[in-house]
Amino acid sequence: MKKIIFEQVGNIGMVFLLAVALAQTVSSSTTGNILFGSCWFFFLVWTILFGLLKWLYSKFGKKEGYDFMDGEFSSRDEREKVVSNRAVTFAYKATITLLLVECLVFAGLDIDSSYLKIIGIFFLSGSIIFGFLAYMLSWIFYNLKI
Amino acid sequence: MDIINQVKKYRKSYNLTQESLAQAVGVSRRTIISLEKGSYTPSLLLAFQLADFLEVDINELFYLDKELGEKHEKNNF
Repeated sequence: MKKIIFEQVGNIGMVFLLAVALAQTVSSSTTGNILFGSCWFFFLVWTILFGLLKWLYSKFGKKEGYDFMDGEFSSRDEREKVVSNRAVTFAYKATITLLLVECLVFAGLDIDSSYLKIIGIFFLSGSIIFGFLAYMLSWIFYNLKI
Repeated sequence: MDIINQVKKYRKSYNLTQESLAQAVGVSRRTIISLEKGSYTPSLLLAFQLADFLEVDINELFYLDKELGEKHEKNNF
């Protein structure tokens, strides 16, 4: 369970920082002049740190079955594979439902075109974070159930 | 139809802990707990590995609960 929480917290942090950095660039850039704000630095630091922690965890957390490349799909045995399969199915359904709801909400919103890109970035990154959260929570649920 | 297993009975007859059985067949202790509770049905490979390690016929270790299965079928149709 620890490996899934570790992986998803890292993933959520990475997507959040990427969204903030993208929003910063979009809001401050003009045509032909792309600006990279300080948030990109935090995103890079987080990515490198998370990658390093993942590598260390895969080296010293082998007993838990954590694999660097498999990430949140790492499994110690066949039961955990079943748990991952069920969690991924749940997360997929939940994320698709959320995206459909977001499409309807987005279509109904009267947004100023200057904010459209930023809101789009947060809608999309929010959906990805929601997917990560749905996977993590359903993994914990199925792990206790099965 | 449900699959009934006698893993707990045979494990105890060998005075094995859940941890030692788990290590012997290469799974986590949580998997052995789930198996014994009946909340997880193992793969054919794991079933054979368990039967082999516990030196018992696989049909004695795992069998179909026909009564329970028939009840389920009646409820489904």
